[in-house]
Amino acid sequence: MSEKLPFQYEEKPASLLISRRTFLKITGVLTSVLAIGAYTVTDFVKKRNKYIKMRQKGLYKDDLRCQRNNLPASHLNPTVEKFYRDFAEHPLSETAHHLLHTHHYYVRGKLNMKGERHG
Amino acid sequence: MGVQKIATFSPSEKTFTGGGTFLPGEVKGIIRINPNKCVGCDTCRHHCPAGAIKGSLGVTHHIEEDLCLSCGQCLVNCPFGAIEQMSFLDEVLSRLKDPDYTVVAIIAPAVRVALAEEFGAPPGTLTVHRMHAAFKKAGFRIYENNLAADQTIMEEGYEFIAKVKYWLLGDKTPELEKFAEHPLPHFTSCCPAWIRYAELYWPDILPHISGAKSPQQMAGATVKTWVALRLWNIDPRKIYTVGIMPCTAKIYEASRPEFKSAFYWLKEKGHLPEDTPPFPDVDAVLTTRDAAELFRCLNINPLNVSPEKETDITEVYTGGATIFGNSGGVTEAALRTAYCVLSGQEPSSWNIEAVRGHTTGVRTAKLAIPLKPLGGKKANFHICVVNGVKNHLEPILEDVVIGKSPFHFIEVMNCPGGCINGGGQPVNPMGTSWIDPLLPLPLKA
Repeated sequence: MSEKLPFQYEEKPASLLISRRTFLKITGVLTSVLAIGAYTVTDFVKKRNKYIKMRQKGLYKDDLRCQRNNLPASHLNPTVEKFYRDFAEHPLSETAHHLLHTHHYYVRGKLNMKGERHG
Repeated sequence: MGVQKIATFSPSEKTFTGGGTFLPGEVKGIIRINPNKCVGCDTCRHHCPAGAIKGSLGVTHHIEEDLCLSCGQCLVNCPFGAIEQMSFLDEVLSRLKDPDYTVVAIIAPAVRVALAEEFGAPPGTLTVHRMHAAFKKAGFRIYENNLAADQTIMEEGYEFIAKVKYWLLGDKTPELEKFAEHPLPHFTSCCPAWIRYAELYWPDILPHISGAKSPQQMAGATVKTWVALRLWNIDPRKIYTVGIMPCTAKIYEASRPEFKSAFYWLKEKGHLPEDTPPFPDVDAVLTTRDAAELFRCLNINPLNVSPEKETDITEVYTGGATIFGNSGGVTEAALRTAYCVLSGQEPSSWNIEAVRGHTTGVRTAKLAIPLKPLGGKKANFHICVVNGVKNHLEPILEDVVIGKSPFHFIEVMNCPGGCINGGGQPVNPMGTSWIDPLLPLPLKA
């Protein structure tokens, strides 16, 4: 075609701005960013783990109740005092050693070696 | 908002056979995935601290028993209720009906802020006297696990103080010599899933872990000795101890073969006939969910019973004990007592906010405690609280193994938030125990 017509449409070369594949890559990444972002935003709104904080608050409330009853720390527990006075003498005593301490931590990987499969 | 119903199953013959990483007699396979219900959403695998769950997106998952800690984090986070728990409820119910036996409930701190959820109350509703009354109505006698937690602090706290004397103050007297094998940092030993995690994956850490038993095991051993012989005057063989726990790993802990110390002690002191077969310190463990099911079976609603007025001697506990159920609670309780013992005076405030884990993965704090033996000279203690084994613990253990850990005292709780978010707790259908900010799941290749 030697003569340029006024209505002639010339297609831009595809690779000039962005190729089809690049377009797919960018939209793919954008979609995942948006999806993860949306989940995160709902995470802040919904506070899915708030039940953890609510239960913790309950125990600290119980702690304050005990503190008001003059029972803030373990060594002030009258039953514990009686336990040591009448029975176990003192912490880390012979009786405590037998009843309140363990002497068995196993290297479980080694147990596994003896079993049916190697860990 | 209701709670999710979690299916349970009874133990089978295979449960106690041992093998693999289990000793004979230990309960294995406490947590199992129902393959018919699993849709392969992969949530459980991202919550498992031990990498014990096999499978990938879209594939039915299964648990490798030998690697499993029985912590139940997969169970409480499964969006489809496809994970089931082994339950000893039938055994406990039949013992309650047997007039020969005294059934003793050992009630963990975290149960009192979660039990009410099963009966329609919001999370965190505190029931102490109502809960005690309900257990008594069901036929139990009570030994507070919180009381045993106070005993734990006495034993573990004094153990920590002895380690400080030996390793930091250079006190090498013969009675402290046994601590030469147990260097600092001192790790807590209350969490059975953490103990199993260390035993399976980090055996180098074992000498650092406290030798004090967990409160549940202390309670069992104390009930069958001191309480049976001196307080209640009953035959220890006719006592059936039941741990009421927020935890599925406690079921496994109670079955560990070494925890028969009351039996061996009684035998040595001549309180038992020669032919008595060995019995465990804790006979059975019910999770919070199991306890709620027990109340439903017996038509008791703990929210409607009239609270008991008097506190028995075996129900007295302190604030330090009750916060055991929160991440950072063991540390705070130990520090309250250690402060008093080391300094000879009471702290200005009992609340040590700096070590409270809340929903932070790792809390570190530096505390100055005046030391009486050094004339009130202050010493700095470096404290670390690990809130959830998954994603938080490994760098800290690596530092300990290469000897570069800056800490003196490290608390480890397997479950994010502490026992209050344990694998035996009521399950909130919309909840997640993922506490790390931003990404709900880590991006891994």
